Amino acid sequence: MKGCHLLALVSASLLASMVASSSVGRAANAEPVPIPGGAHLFSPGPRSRGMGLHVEPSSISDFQGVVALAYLSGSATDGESHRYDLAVDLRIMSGDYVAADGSAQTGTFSFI
Amino acid sequence: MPDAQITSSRHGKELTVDAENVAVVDDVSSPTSVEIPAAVSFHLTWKATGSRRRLGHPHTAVPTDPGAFLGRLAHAKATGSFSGMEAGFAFQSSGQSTFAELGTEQNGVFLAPPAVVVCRVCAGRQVRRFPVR
Repeated sequence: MKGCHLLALVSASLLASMVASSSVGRAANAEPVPIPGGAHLFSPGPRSRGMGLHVEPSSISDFQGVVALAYLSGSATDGESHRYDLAVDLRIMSGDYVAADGSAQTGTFSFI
Repeated sequence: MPDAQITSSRHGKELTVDAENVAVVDDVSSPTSVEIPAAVSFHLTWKATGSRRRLGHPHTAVPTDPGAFLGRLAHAKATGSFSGMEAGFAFQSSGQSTFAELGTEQNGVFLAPPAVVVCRVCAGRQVRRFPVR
């Protein structure tokens, strides 16, 4: 079951909705929209770790700007001190985007 | 994330992100969808290890295709630390990435539409020509 717990954690998709200072106070519908196809994202990387290199790293659509992606490894500990291997998928997207309400916005977001 | 927490240098070949105790929602999708409040901190630096490559298939892919973007990305090494905590669970990572990339990209409405030219030989039929970048 530990493996299942870890899988749940790794696939948990901690969605850090971190908004840039330039967009503080905007309406909720000024949030970015996810890439088409439903709530998901792709996994760029060599075939041994991902879907290939010609693969979208951003989790938001109608976006242009800086992207950074990193796959990290580490450990996790639950409330009963059980330790697990941890794989982290961390992405930064910083730039211009068209929000859900159609407005042009600038912001920085992270997907973990 | 305040802009000050992200710094870029070396003409975009290096990116540093410093975030401390950022409130997030852990969207646990298995076995059922549950949202759990959590906090994460990360201090990471990406350094490009090669030159940028043009990636993606912006004009040939359908919007849902994994290649429906135009990227100018370089392989990178990401070093630093990542940690997080939520009810009954803590996790941390430090060291070096197993895979990382850094650069710029555009997708969706920011993908330039293909140029439309008139082909005289084709008797006025519109022919799509894709711009060369």
